[in-house]
Amino acid sequence: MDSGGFIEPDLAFIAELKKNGGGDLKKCYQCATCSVVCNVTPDDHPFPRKEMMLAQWGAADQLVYSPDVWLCHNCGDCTANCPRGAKPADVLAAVRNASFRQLAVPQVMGSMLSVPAWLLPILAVPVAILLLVLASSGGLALPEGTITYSKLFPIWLIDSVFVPVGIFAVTASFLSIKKFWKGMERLSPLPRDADMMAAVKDTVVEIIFHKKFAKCEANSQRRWGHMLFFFGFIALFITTNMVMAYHYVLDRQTPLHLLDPVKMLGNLGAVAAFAGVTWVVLRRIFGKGETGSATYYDWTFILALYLTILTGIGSELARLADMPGMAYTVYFMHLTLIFFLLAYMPFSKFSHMMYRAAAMVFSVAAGRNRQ
Amino acid sequence: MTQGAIRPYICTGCGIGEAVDVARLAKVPVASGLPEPRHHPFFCGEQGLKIIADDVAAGAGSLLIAACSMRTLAERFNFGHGVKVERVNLREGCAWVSEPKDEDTQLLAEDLLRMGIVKAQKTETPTPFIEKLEKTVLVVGGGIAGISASLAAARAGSNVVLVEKDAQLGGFLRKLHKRFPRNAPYEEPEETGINENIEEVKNEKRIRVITSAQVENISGQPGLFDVTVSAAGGVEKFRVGAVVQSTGFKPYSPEKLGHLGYGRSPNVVTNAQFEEMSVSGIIRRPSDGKEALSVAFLQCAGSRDKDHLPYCSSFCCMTSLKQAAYVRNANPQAKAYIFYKDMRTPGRYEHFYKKMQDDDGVFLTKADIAAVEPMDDGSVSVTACRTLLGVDIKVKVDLVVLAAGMETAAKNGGALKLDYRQGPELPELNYGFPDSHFICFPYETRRTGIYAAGAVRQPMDSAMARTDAEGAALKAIQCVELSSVGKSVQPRSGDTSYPRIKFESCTQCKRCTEECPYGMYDEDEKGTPLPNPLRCRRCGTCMGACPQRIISFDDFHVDMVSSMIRAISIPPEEEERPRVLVFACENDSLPAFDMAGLTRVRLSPHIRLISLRCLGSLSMVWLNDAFSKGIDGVLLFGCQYGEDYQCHNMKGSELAKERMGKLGETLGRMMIEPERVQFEQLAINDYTRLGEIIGDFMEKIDAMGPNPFKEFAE
Repeated sequence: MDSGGFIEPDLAFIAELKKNGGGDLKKCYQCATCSVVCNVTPDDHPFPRKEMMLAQWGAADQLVYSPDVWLCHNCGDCTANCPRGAKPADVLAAVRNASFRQLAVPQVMGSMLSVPAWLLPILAVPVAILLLVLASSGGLALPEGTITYSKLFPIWLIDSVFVPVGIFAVTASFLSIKKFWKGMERLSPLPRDADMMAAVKDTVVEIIFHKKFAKCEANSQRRWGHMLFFFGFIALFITTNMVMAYHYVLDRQTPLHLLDPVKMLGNLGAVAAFAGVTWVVLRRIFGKGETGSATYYDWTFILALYLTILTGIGSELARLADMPGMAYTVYFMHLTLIFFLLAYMPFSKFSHMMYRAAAMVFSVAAGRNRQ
Repeated sequence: MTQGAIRPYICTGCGIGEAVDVARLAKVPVASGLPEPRHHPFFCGEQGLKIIADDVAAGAGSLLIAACSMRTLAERFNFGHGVKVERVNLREGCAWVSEPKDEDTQLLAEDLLRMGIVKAQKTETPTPFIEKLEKTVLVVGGGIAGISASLAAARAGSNVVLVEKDAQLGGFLRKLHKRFPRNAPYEEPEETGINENIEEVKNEKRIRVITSAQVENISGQPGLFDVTVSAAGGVEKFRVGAVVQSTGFKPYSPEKLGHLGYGRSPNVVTNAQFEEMSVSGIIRRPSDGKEALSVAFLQCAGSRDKDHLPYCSSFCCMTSLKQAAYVRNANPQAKAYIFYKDMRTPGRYEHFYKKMQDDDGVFLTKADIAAVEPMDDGSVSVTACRTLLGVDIKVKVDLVVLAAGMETAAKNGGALKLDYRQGPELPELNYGFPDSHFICFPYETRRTGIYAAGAVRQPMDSAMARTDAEGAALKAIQCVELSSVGKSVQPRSGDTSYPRIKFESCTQCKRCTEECPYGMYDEDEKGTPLPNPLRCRRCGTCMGACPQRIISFDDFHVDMVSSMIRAISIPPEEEERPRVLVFACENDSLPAFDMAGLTRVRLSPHIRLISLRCLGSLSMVWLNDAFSKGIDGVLLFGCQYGEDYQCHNMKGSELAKERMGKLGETLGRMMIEPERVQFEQLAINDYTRLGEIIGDFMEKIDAMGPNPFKEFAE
């Protein structure tokens, strides 16, 4: 929006924010109550007052490359106290939604993830790939005998699909973060003597303990849901990698015994993640609005997570109950959803973890996010 | 009119009976030759009132009621026309502020009674000045204010003459494309409706409209104003009863706004010019006719600016929001920027502000304008600093609109051409706006019977001008109606006294003609005052000013007050009972003393209070009287004067203060320390300070010792 020093408000950006949760952004009359009640903003140049103004002026560049937008944890304290009903928390969420699209590399992926019209086509991609793989390996018939998922998809076959997908996701994430970081540095260069290691360390500690969430008032309950899911997710991530190590290094094959430590960690993680997301979903549906308005971004992300966990748990239960038809179908769905989550992670709300982490590191390095 | 013997009453209720020895007090009227006073613990009750009413029925025409303040129960103690009632304030003025049963309290009550008796003896029920009056209302200026005033007066039954300088009515509102919303939900600009208003005037039989016309002269007084109007058809003369001046405003000259780019690019225009540019629907920039897709509105252009108009012009915020709506309605891709100091959209206007703020293409920020520079391609660059973003904002726009404020048309003068000794215009207060008591009597001007309405009086929008004008029209009618029965308008509404002048002793010093806050006196060539009693507001400033003491009212005159001062008993020096005379303005100071009584503030019992119509009516001779009598000090309580004056007669307390400046010499000749006279500005809510002010003054008097004249006084 900046050309020759002139501000040129981006009407399309304002429309995008309004569509993606920031419908009331123009109502702000700059009283700054939001910045006063916010417990997570830095004292100097606090948000979200100035972000509201930037949003009203359609200043896309300043918002998409702002670390402050990500320091916000969507507590909703600002929205609860806004005298004008401008819902600053929703507006910042809308800015983040717009960022998922605008920061995405390749950007076309961001655009596809941003609209419901593309949902079925992008869901069809993993289905088609997995069916293709299945057809080319051993046909679509159900394997005989004890239920063993590696009979359907041998591990080498799964890895041959998911390792490239993982590489794609990691590469896209790296490029998106790089774009974001460069943008942040362009708007506000980091000091030369910035201590990056300390910034990373601070950020990790902060994330592990969910310190920012603890400061929320209006939406204080969310901390527990997020924490349960967060640690459950980490446990599952470790489990997945351990299973790979078992397979390739120790030659221990799945299904693992229920008392195997890796299996136990996986089951524990699944239960925690399930409980966490259930909590989130229930509060989204039955809450009194303290979670803010939910957008397409929120629901696709939450539901993809929830269905992934449900199908994961379902696969295990169906296997233990010895219901082959059910087990293999649910497992197929589970793999599809994992593909969906993994491949589209850098372009969906899932990517908030990397943008927020990057913004927190940047802010600490800039001396702006001290505790 | 004489009412015969004075009949005294002493109420013993409300603590009076407990504070003073009533039997001793009763001897005071008897000593003055009056009948034995009647007592009752409750004269304001049915039984008490009957006692008085029976006396009235038996022929008593002059009643002296020693009870509560004259400011209370005035209606209850009104026994009809021709029965004179004088009140002595034993309650708020004595019992409630003094130590009960104390000798000093007793002496205070006795003095108050003596002063009341003298006052009753020295005054008469006023004979009103009554003439056959014309009741037509003249409205000068046919904009929305003039139209509204005319319609309101006509609908209330008055004949109206409406004089407009243009060829047609409608004024500024006629030039507008739309007006900002006045109807729910207050979200869209509306048609001005001015043509319908003009039709209403044309259909109103009581209104006579003279267009392309000019008032050439107004002489006379309320009910008797002789007006000369020149129009296309020639000059005509007629008589009216009252005048409403609704000549509106003129936009602040944009030539003075060069710092905001005016004159440096044709694409910098004023809000008034923009209004005309918007009529066609598509807004084009003047330089090349290109459609204006970005427009910057600069608020407070020349308003709230010490180098230009220091005040808020009140309509510009809503006007710019409305014009932003023009921009956005003309093209959905167009952008409107509004740079403001504060958005002022009071009351329901807030709905429109919210509506416009919610528009994606309207960008608002608080800012100071740092630079407005024309660019080669015809665009204009606007740089705003001190913005809400914390950084300077620079925008490139097709058009800049300066939200220029309003100046009162009264500043030009010439609308009324009054044939008054004090000048042809309504006296102004600040920035050219006509002077009035802006808190208590905002419609009033300092020319009785002439009311300023609409933007000529105060910056306002058309909605407010309508109601303002309706109020002024009703005031104009009230003025002629009261005048026709010899009664005054504010602040002494209903007063029928008026100044009577013994011309044989006049020295033509012109003090009265110069000092009257209302320009009541005209003057002949020699300087002899020519009174216009219907212009009088009964403040008595002329009476206080007159060195010859030849101006008096039937119920208020120099000798009355002098006699009251002489009625005060002065105890011998050795008794150490100083006496301090208090002159208190009846508008704010007297109520403050009553408040002190109500809240039981302890005041020195050595003060003797005389209430004046206005401190402007203070005659210097009274100070002479007081000090030669042996009074030790004089305290003057008047309203705040100066720029934010509170004086109900605008200049009264200021004139009194001025007269005090000349007092030193007189007192010096008498060997009296000037510090024995002290002037205080007092508002009604200052009653809490009264105890302290009076206490400090008493200490000062004690330190100076008694008045040296005390021993010579009898």
